[in-house]
Amino acid sequence: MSSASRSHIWLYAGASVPGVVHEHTGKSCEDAWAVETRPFEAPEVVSVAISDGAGGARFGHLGALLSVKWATRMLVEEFNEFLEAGAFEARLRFIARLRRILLRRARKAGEDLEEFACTLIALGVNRGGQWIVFHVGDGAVVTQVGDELAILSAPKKGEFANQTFFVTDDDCVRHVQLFRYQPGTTWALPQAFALFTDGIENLLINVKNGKVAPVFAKLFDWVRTLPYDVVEKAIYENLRDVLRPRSSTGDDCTLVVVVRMSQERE
Amino acid sequence: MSGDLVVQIQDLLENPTHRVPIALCLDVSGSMAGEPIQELNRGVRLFLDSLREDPIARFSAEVAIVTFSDSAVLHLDFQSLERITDPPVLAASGQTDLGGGVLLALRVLHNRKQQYQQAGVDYFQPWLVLMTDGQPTTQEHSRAAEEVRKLEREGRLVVFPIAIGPNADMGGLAMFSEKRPPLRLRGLNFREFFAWLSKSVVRVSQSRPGEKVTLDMEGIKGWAEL
Repeated sequence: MSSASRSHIWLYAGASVPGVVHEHTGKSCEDAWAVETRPFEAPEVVSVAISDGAGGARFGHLGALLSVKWATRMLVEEFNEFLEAGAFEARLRFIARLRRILLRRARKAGEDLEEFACTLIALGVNRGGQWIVFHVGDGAVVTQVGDELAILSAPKKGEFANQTFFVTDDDCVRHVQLFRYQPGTTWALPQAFALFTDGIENLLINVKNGKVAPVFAKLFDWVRTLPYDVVEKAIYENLRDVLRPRSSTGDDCTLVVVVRMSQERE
Repeated sequence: MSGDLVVQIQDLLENPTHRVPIALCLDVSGSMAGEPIQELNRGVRLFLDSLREDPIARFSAEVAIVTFSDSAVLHLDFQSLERITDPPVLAASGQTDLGGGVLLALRVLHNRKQQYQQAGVDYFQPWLVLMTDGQPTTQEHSRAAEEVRKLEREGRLVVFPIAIGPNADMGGLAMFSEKRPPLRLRGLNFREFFAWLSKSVVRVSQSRPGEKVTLDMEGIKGWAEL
């Protein structure tokens, strides 16, 4: 065998739609998602993040927007550091920096930090096929390894359905879930990831029995085979017309899919 | 959207809706005989019907009915609204074992929560609606009140103590909640109360993580003496 190694290109697509409750009350969508690549052309690192602004927070949507923007930026800028740091140190560094950014914004607005409360899931992937996931609160991450779909990161909630954890919580670092590339494990190299908020959780996973909806295989194939704009439109329209009407919570719905395409390189 | 790019129902999972368990703990002692019990029965039916009309609450709300007079009786155990085709018709007689009624309601709520947990069903904070027109005639109400206050303090129970008529023991009812003082029903406005209650359940069933559900205070004026 030559010295050829595999290089991984990551494709992505996603969309958000306001939940039926927000639509009926005329409120805007409080979910947010973002993507960041470095360098922009032929990126070494791709990062995506989704966030759900807390229902009771006055600026939950702004908290969500800021969180996805800065989480993706941190991941592309410090991907290797997060990958190599000890687990606690990585979690602490990630969440402390994010909270500082939110706190600065809250102080500027003369508001309490908790008014910017939101959940967060952030994924970073690189050309070497390495990856890292930070997750605070509800929503979930599903992966595909071979033909198998599985829940990588399950929602973390309180006892009751309207209780979860937010990046603004004082003890947030205790509730940050961290998953990352570990060579030699079954999960070393997933072909695809899907991140989604709690508005559509009930249609996509069953945490109790670990079941994952077959729809992900379809979505991952779309991203692999169809142009970006076609897939993004399809995700948006399916969220709006198929998933949202069946959401058990009436909450905003966000779904982002990231798929690996491998190629040999000398 | 092209047919090939449409997600099919069979591509998705069907998980149970988040549940809101509501225990109605109702006084059916002898003093409730006549018009009060008739209005209470109408109110309960209206409550169930109103919940059924809401697209989310109809699947999330679950109602149990416990009554107390000489003893506590579970008339309707927790189940989805769809399955309650024939709500019980309550009759009034006997004394006021309020404490026994509340302890039974707590047991029923506890059992339901365990069933949710075993089945992996998410649920909201359980509600206890306590309605009485008199004074407790047994000693158990102090123990029951202590238990209820503890759960309320821990954020694990929402309590609505409601007095019916001028003879209801407001002081005794006040022992059941540190957060919500008892309210006295204006006249026999059971229907107005249950209409308000169903709207409150709808609010909770639509609430999202982090959201503090505020009750319709203006609506309370429609049924309570303030």
